[in-house]
Amino acid sequence: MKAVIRLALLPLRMAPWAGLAIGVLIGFGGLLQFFLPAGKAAVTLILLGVGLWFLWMLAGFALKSIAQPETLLLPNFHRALFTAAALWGLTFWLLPAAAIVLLFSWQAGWWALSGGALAIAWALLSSIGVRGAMYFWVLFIAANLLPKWILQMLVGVLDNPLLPAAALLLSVLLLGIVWRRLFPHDDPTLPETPFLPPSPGRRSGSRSPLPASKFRRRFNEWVEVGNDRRLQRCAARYQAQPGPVLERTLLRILLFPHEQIRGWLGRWVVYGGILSIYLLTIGKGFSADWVAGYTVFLAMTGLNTVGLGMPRLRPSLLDLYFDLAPTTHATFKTRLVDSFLGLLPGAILSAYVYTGLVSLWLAPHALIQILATTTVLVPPLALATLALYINLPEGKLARILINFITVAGQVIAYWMTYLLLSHLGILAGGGLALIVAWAFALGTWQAARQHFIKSPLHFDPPVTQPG
Amino acid sequence: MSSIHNETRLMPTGTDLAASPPVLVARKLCKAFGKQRVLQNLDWEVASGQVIGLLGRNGAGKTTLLRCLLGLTPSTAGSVEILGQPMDEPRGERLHRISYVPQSFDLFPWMKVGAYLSFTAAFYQHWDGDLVNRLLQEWQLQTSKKIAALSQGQRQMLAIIRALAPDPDLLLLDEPVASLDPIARRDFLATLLPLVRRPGKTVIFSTHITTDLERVDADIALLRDGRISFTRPLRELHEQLQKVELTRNEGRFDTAPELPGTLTARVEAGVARYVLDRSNPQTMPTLQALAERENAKLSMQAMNLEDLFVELA
Repeated sequence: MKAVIRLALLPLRMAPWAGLAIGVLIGFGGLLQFFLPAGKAAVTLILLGVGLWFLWMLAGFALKSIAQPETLLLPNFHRALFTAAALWGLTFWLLPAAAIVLLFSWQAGWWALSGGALAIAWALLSSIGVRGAMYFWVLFIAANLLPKWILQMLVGVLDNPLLPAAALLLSVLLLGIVWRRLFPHDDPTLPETPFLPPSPGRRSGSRSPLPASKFRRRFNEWVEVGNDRRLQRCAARYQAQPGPVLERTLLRILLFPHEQIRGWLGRWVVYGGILSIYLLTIGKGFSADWVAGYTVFLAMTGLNTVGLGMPRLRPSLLDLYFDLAPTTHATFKTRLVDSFLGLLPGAILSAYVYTGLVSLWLAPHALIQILATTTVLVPPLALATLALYINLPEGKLARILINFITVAGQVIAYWMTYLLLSHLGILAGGGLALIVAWAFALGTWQAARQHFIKSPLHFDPPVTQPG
Repeated sequence: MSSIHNETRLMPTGTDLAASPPVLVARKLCKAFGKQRVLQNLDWEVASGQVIGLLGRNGAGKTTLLRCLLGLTPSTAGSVEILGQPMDEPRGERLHRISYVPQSFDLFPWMKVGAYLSFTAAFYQHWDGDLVNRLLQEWQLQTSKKIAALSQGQRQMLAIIRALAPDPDLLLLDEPVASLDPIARRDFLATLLPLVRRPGKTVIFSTHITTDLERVDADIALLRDGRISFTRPLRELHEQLQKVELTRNEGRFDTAPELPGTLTARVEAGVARYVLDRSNPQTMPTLQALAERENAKLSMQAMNLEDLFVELA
């Protein structure tokens, strides 16, 4: 019983402040019921629903943290887990549904039961890191864009008494996916370089790689073959005639195996495809320069892998340290930090591809201006972004803050440069933007590079945090 | 596979070693993690050509010592010289004369074995490709396999191959055979010895597998209480260190009488038990005199390395 209670309380123990905030939200929703005029129960229901949804998200995070092969070896772990899950289900699913039956009607309760189950499955899928859970949001967005007659038809379908039963069935299927994802039977994917750029279906900096799809495995093999060939060629050339340029290339091949034509192509096909679908279906009404600004952020997502991947690279650095045989620790770090510049070509070319696509689909007449903005701004912007990420602190809050500032900075800088080029012309506006952007980028890079070089050299892996 | 027992010992021994320049000198080396002092004024000198087995209990600080010696972990105080130069900075090419196999190593898990070795070889002027190919074949390591897909033992083999290939002058191995099966362990030692028993080659390896140290006839260094208690050839340890029991014919010992050359002493069930160092010229005469005076039966027993470790570590 002790284990059941511990498991049941784990989500709140792991994130006590979030639990408190959710408790306040639910309590506030409950109190509103007494103060709001009759007929405004929807506000209460929405607040309670959102609160419960976040609570199940916490449960998902907790589940993810304990879903390790070792925990399965604990005595009666499954029984304890299922009992704790049943307690949660009773408290945060069945009881609220029963309350709705008492307050409203049987039909409303039936909907709360089935809709609640679906929401729980969605919350768990989202919190354990299943990217497919994002597609629920797409459904919501799509629902807003549907023609009226389709919406009226859907409302008619909602009256069907069998729909809640279908929702219940769907949630059972989704919970099955949750379980299989938490405790997979397949072998996990072999670890990849900590500097692998993020892509749909895989989070950057993920510590516990999940089984990869066949397509992803084949794609990775294709990229690896290209990289191995490059490495063999470069290693032979370096051995014959060592030099700093070839050394940097070798380091780039080692640390960033996906920063090569094959890796870029893969990224462009996937992101370019998603972007094109988005632009052709939803994005038609948006301004091209606004969307282009967002895609610049997309092109640079790979740069933050440096900050996220560095702590995980530490144990491997030892080998590199002996290989490079640096004169001082500082020279070792200098060579390392300079090799990070190898991420820039991929980010810059990706920005050209994505902003070009945006212009082609939304405003072909503005192609030259958009590409000119990309040419003027993206290289210094990529350098400045890399500078911000190479010394990324290990604290989560600081990382979120830096990410937010960086993303906002990228997007706003793109819009401002586009405006400058529109008002002053490509030559004058571009020249001014070039001076300002490069001055900022070089200053930031120099400062960040010096900080990286001066920071102490560690070879030990970071302390693993749960979750 | 070459036999360890039949290999020719080319290493300088005895007085030759004393004349060899020290390859490693540690003076007053201290290392503390917070309040926990791991190394305390450690002094240690290792002559060129020695093969040293570093022994010590779990948590004695063997890994910390090796990492401090190489400058991988900053020491709290003291100095280290390696290959005749202070180890306050890596100092370039000197690192290519040193190989280190850490206790836990990641190498580059996302790389394939072949690509990893090609990458590493590119940086070394001396890289014994024939040795690498031979060992890969003998130890059945596939070059097309990813490092992450290798078992722990296979990864250790790969790390050893990588360490041996540059033909280093100083080889430091931190529990190098812990994950290897007995056959691979013997293979490793059989491969290692001919390579390192050459003038100018020095090996320090920490291990708990004392039989391996006996097999390679290493000099033994014992790390205890943050210091190197002694560094002595194994044969000398076998000859000089003895387990001694004194049993009174009438009555019991309450405390173990003091003796010169005592390494450990205790009383168990009225019997005084010692580990004595016979190299002290006063030990044996004093012991015999004590036995006569106390009317006690004296028994002496040679010790294998495991017994020594249990008694002394």
